[in-house]
Amino acid sequence: MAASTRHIFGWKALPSLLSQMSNSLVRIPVATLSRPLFTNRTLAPVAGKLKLVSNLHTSACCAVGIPQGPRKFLKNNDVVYPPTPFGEKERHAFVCHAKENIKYSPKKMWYIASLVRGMKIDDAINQLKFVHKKGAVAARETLEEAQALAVKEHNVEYKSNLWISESFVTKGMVIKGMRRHARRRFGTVRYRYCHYFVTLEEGEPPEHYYPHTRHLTGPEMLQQWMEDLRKRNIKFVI
Amino acid sequence: MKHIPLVDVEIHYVLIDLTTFITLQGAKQRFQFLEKKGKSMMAVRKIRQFDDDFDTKVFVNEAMQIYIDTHKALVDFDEDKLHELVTERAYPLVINERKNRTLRWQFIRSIEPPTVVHARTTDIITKENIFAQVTVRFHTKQTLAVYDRFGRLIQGSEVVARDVLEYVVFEKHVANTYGTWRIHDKIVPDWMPPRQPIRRTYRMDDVEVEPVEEEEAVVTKEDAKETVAAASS
Repeated sequence: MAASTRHIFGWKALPSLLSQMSNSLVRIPVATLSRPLFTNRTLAPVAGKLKLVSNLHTSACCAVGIPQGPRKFLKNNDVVYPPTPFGEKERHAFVCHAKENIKYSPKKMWYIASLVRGMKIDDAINQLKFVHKKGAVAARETLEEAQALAVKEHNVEYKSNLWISESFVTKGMVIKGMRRHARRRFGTVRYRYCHYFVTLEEGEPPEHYYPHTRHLTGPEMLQQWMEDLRKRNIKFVI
Repeated sequence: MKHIPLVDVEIHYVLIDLTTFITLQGAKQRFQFLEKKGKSMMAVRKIRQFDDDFDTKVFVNEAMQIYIDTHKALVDFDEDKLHELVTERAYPLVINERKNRTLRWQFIRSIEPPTVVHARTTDIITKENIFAQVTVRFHTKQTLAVYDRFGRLIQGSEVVARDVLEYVVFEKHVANTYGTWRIHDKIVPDWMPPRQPIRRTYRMDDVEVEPVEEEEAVVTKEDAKETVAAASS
């Protein structure tokens, strides 16, 4: 087992510091090394300053560099729409903003992103003030920055007239560390990062962000019940 | 229309222009006196040293064309063409806040024919390296509509034409055989009426609002206990 772990983690490359790791809560991440240990799977396809022409190892793994953050989402801010033709409704202003490499698990951040989705900006910020999670701080900063950007650069008149039309989390880099277990066993510790994306749109939010999960009204429930009754079928009967 | 004659006050000429209804004060306007005397006259002669065919009457038409082409290049956002029409100093001023916007500009006509108002030459570093700057006065009818990223009108109108009075400085590196006349700057006189305000409202963050101090009833623990005791008794 020890031999196989050495093979996987490149034991010889690690400093002697790791051998002094305790079994306590303090985990020493491998990020304290001169270079992080990346495997093929955790690498982003295009990383750092060097672009991988193919997915073959044409150069050393360590030369690839730290993966870049997201690239496409913020390009939505550069799209220029033609002037609205006479008689048509005016397009709503929107601004896309992202906070990258938040030291928080994407799975945990998802709860915060879902809380805020479809809310008005002021309500969202106020709610996040009282969410006792680490990611709530980052989410609140993102929202406040996005609000300021909207007013400054995207011709939004009232900073409160915004709602959150998109709010989602993606996986950032994952730095792997080690921890020891009993009986000469070792486990991997994953230090996860996430990216948080937000789109603020001008205007009033819709009543139901997910229309298919809303509660049905009384008449709608009645209609549903009547339809269910009418759908009933007696089998094997002409 | 009746023109009240110019009054020469030192260097500045004061003109009362009833046709344009602009309040006057030291405007750098010299019409018929330009050709006869002054530093501008000497500057024009200096330009003719390098450019034999330089004539102010011909030049104003060229200047007008450069002015129109600059606006068209700005609407199309043709950066290469803008560099040809506008000097390096003026380029960032022209380009400022142009991105992520749609411009619609139309030149309708010239209300008054453009005139050369001021000319100067100077040498940079060496005596032979001459630059010339000529100020041209344009009084034109234009329409301008600025739309934001989402196609909403920010400023102006595509239909309503406005009278535009501008003093545009053209510069040329006359010592250079390949030098061309390019827009260098715009002069906005003090007596110019203020520009049209933007359509949307905005916050003035630099104004500090003094907090109004009110006498707040500070409810201390003792007071609370007293009220509770009074209520219970």
